[in-house]
Amino acid sequence: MSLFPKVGRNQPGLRVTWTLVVAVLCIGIFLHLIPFYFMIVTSLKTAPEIMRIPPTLLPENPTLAAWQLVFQVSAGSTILRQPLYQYFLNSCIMAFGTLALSLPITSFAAYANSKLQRGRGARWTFLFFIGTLMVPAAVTLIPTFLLTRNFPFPVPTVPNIPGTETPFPVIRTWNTAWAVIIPGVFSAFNFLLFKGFFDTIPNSIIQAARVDGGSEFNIFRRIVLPMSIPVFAVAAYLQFSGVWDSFMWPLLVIQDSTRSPMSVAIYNLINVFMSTGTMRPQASLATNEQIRQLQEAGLSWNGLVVLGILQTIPIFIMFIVSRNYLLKGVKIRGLK
Amino acid sequence: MAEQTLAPGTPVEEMKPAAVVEVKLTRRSRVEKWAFLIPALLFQLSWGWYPLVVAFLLSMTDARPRGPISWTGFQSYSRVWADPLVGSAFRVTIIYAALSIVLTFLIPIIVAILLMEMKPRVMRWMMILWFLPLSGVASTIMWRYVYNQDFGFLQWIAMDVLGLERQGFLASADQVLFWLIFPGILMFGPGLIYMAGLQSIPQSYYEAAEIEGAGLWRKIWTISLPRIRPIIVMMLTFAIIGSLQVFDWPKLMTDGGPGGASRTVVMYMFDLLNSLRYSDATALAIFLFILIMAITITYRILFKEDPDS
Amino acid sequence: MVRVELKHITRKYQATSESSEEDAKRPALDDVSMTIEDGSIVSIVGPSGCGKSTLLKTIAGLEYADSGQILYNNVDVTRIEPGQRGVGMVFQDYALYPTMKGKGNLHYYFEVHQRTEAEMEQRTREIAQIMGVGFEVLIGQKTDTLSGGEQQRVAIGRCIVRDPYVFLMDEPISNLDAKLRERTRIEIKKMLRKFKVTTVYVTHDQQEAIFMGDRIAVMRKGKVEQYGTFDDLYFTPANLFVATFIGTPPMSVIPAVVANGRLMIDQAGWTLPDEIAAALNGQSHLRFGMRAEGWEVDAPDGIPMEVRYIDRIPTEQAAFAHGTLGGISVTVIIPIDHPEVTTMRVTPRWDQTYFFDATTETALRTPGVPDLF
Repeated sequence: MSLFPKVGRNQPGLRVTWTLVVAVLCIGIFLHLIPFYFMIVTSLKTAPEIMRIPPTLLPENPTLAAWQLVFQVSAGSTILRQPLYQYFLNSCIMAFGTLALSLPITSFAAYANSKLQRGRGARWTFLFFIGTLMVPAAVTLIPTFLLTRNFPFPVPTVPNIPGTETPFPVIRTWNTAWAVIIPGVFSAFNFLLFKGFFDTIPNSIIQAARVDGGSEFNIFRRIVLPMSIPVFAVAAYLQFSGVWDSFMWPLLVIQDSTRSPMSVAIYNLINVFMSTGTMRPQASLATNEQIRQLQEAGLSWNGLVVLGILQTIPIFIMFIVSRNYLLKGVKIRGLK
Repeated sequence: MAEQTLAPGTPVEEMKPAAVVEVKLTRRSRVEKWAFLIPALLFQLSWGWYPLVVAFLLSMTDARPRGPISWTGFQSYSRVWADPLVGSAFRVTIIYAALSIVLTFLIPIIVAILLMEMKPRVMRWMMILWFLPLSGVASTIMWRYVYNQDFGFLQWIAMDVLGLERQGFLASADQVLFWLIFPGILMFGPGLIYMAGLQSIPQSYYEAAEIEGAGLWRKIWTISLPRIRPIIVMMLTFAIIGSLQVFDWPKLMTDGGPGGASRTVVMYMFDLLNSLRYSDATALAIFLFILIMAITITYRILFKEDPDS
Repeated sequence: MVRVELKHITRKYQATSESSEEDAKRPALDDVSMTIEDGSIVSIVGPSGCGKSTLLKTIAGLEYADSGQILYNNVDVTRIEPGQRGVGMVFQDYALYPTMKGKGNLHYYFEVHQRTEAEMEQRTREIAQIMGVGFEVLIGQKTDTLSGGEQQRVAIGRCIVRDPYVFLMDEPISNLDAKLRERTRIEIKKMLRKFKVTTVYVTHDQQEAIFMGDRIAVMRKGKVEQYGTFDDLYFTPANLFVATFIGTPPMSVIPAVVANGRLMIDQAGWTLPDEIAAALNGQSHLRFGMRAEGWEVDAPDGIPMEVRYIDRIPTEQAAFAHGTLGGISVTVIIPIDHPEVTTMRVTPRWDQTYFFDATTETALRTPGVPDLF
C-alpha cells in the first residue's frame, strides 16, 4: 500500500499501471494453480483419456478408479512391502520427531543469543550457529552418513579402547528414524528466523519480568512463548515440509524399506511403474503380473498423481494451519 | 568468591574502594543461560561442524565400507581432478545454476513488491494462493507428465499450438537443463521473507518520496530495494549455494540423462558414493565447496556497502 | 520501606552499535555513590547517554555493577537477583506483557513467587481502589487495546501491587502527550506521597526532575555531578554543568577577567565588591554566571547590553530581555512595562552571582541557599 499514491489514483497512467499489476499477479496465481488443477483433474481421468492429445480440460468420464486402485495397492501388495499408511506413519514419526526436538532446542538457543548473551560472546555464538548455513549440504553428506553408523567415529569399524579388546561405545542411528531426526535437530535457518523475531521483542518486557522475579525459563515460557506463536508457526511449517519432502537423505540412511518415509516409498513406486513402461501404452514391458493387472484395470499417470496428492496433503494442512502467522512470524534482517 | 555482606549499620565512610569486590552475574542466571544454549551448541557442534571437519579428513584417506583405512594425502583429489566426467558435471552444474538464478531469482522479489500493494484482505488471499505448497514428489510427477514426449501438455503446445517439430524436452541433451529449472522455482520461502522485509519499511519513507514527486519506479528503486537489500544478498547467497548443489530434480526427473547432460556435481557425487568411493565423493564435494565459497565471497565483496550507513 | 545506598558503583560500557567511539571508552557508571533516604523521592536527571538508566537498572539488579555495592537498609543486595530485591519498576515503554490481560500483568509477580490465589486477588482489589476510577475495567482488557496513558496506569499498578521496597521509574511519562504528561506527573507524585515508598525517578527533563524529586542527582558521562535538593543545585551548583543544566531560562555564562578590583567583560566592567573578590582566590580569568532574575537594570554603574528582542509574558507580569553581553547570549528579567530599547544597562546583584573556574569549571563562588524563614 505504498508505491501507489493514495490521491490521484484515477489518473489514466496510474490506472493502467495498477491494472497491469493486478493482471500480473492474477496471471501468476493462475499459472501457479494450474498444477493443482491438473493434478486433481488427472486423478479423475481414465487411462486412455490421459494419453490423449490435446489434453482434456475436464475429465470426460470422471472416475475414482485411480483412487480405488491406489488404495488397493496401498493396502498391501507385492509392489509395496507394507500398506501405504505404514510409510505415512514413518514420515509422521520423522517429521514430528524432528519438530519436537528441533523447535525447543533451536528457539532456546536463539532466545539466549538474543536476550541473555551480550557483546562479543553473543557475536561469536551467533556465528557458530549460523556459520553452517554457508556450507553446502553436499560436503557434509558423506561424513554425516558415516556418523549415523558409529557416532562419533566416521569410520565403518569402531576402534578399540586402547589396551583392551572392547570397542568404544558408539551411538548408532543408521537405519532408524533417528538418522533422519538427529541431524535435523539444530536448524541454522530456523535459528536465524527465531533470532530475528526475538530481537524485535523489547528488552524492557524481559526486564520487567525479571523485576517481577521470573526465572529466565519462566519468562520464556510465560511471556516470550505466547508472543512468539507466529515465528514458531513459520519455523514449524518450514521444517515440517522440509522433512516431509526430504528424499535423498532417507534414501541413503534407511536401508530397511519398511522404515522408509512416504517420499521414498512413492519414489520407488514411480520407478517401478516407469521401468515397466506403464507410461508408454504402446510398449508395455510389464513383467510383474500384478502391475500388468493394474494397467489393465486402468492405472497410469492418474495413479501416480493420486500418490502425489496424498504426499502433498500433510504439507497443505500445515500451510493452512500456519497461514495467518506467516507474515507476522518472519522478521529476518539478513545475515549480520 | 564469597558473598560480601556488610554488617548492618556500617557507615558509608567505612566502605573504601579497596574493599570493593568484583561482581559478576549471579550463578542462577549464568546456569540458565547455558541451559538454554548447551543443547543447541552440542547438536551444532556434533552434526553441524564436526561433519565438516570429518569431510576434510575423509577426503585424504582411502575410506571404504570395510577394511582398514589409511592416509593417502591428496590422491583422491588428483583422481577426481583427472576424471573427465567431473568436468562435465561441473559444466552442467554451473549452466544449471546460472540459468536458474537468472530466470527465477527476481520473480519472488517482484511478486513480493507487487503483493504489498494490494489491500490487506486481497493480499492475504493472493499470498495464500501464490504460496500454496506442492510437495516436491508431487511436483516431480506433475512435471514429468507435463514434459512427456508422447502425450505431455508441453508437447501438445509445441506441436499443435505453436506448430513446431516434435520436441525432446527432458530427452534432449540441449534442452534438459532449461526444463529442469521450472520444478525448482521456489516461491514460498523467498517471497515470504521479502514480503516481511518490505512490511517493515516505514510508510513515511514512501510518503516523503511522494512529496518529492517520486514515481513508482523511483520508489521501488530508491526505497523498497535498498531497504530489503540485506535480505536480497542473503537470499542470493542461499540461491547460489542451493542451485550449485542441485540434486533432487535431476535425480527424480532424468536421473542424469540423457547421456549425462543433466548429471550435476552432487549427482555424480552420489554415483561415487553408490560405488563406495567415499573419499573420492568427499573430495568432489570439497571441490564444489571451494567453487561455492569463491563465488559467494566474490559477490559478497561486490555487494558489501551497507545501505543504512 | 528502605534506605538505598550506592557505594562506588562502576560499570564498564557495554558496546552497542549506537554508542559512539568516545562513549565506548569511558565507563557507563564511574564510581557512583549516593544514599537515598527511606521514603524519599530522588530524581536522576542528565542528558541522554549519561548513564542514568544504567544506574536505575543497577539499583534494580537488571544490570550488574563491575564493582561497588548496593545496600538496602544496610543489607548488601549487589548480587541478589532483581526478582528477590522487592523492587517495582515502570519502564518508558510500559513493558506490559502483551499476551496477558492487565490482570495477568498484575498477577505475574504473585505467580512466580508462589503466593496464594487469595492474596493475589485481594492485593489486586486493593490496588484497583487506590488507582481509582476505571482501573478494574482497564485490567480486564488486553493490554494492546489500551491507550498510552491507560497502559501506563496498568504498568504502575503492576509495580505497586507487590508493595515494593523501592519504586523505580525510567522516564515513565515521556511517551505521553503534553497534556496527559502534566496530569500524570501530578498523579504519580500524589500517589508516591501517599505510599511513602522510596522512589528513584529517572528523567531527561529538568523540570520534571525538580517537580518529582525531594532530591535531585545530576549526572553526566557516568558520573554524578551533584546530588542534593533543588535549592542546593540551584543556589550552590558544584560546577558549571550543573549550574547551566538546572534552571529556566538557563544561566548565562560569560567569560570575564578580574583586573584592578574590577570585573571586566570585554572593555566594560563593574567594581567588584570585596567579599566576592576574596572568594575568587585571586584568579583572573573566570566564568561569570548569572541567572535571569539576578540582574538589575538601568542602574547607574551598569554596562550596556545589546537587546535582541524582548519577550513579554503577561501571565507572569514580567518580560525577558534577550541580549548579548561579551558575545554571549544573556537573558534578563525586566518589568513588563519596560519600554522597547536597543541597549540597556545591566548590573549584577552581587549576592546572586556565580563564579566558576575557567578550566576546571568548578564553582568558586555561589549565592548559597537563601534563608527564607
